[in-house]
Amino acid sequence: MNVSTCVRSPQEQQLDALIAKYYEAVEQGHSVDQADFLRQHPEFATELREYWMMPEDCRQR
Amino acid sequence: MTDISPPPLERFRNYLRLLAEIELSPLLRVKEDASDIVQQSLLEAHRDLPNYRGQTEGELVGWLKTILARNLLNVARRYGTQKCDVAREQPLGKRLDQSTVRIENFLASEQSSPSHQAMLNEQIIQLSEGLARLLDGERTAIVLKHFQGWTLSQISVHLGRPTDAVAGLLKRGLKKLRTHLQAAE
Repeated sequence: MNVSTCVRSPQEQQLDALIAKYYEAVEQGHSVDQADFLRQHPEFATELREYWMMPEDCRQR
Repeated sequence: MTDISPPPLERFRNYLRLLAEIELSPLLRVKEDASDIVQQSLLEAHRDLPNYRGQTEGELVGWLKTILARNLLNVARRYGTQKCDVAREQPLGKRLDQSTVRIENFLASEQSSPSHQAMLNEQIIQLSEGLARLLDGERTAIVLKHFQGWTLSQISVHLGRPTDAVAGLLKRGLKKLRTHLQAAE
């Protein structure tokens, strides 16, 4: 498979790691409150909020 | 009845490809490209079009899905996987319908009137086209996560990439998909 590769900035890598951390916690059955998660990571609050809204943005057309 | 020319089948290529990608197991996907199965299905549809009697787009989509289901089943039989993969638990046609429902659920639409269903078909076609424009890794990550319910860890193992990289694929893929869908409005 031609898997895509790209160079991610350090900030992007941190954000991706946070998204992964969130998914893994949810998938392991932990109750993760998004508001709490944002409070724990205020430096990425805007980006995380945008990411969580993306599926919704795809719907609301 | 007015005499109308049949809609171009090409319009449904990416929709059928998305369904095939959802239905093909990861192991089978390595051996058979979903695009090839769709190409074969569209060739057969063009061949049989003179005998096609449906009138609505919904009927046309149903007919195309029947042809696709037959070809997916043939692939499963060729690799001897019909008991565990593509055709494992129930008729493939029914499973393709369920895959369609999963796509519809992603779009969060409710089926109601025929006009609403036509609009939904159009949204699915736009979604399929948007997904077809993504890089392979981005598309695979979104299909596995949002349409097949895989965990990030499962996708990570399948793609051979760390979970944060998979999260990046999902993030970039969804962003591009959102841009495509908004532009298609």
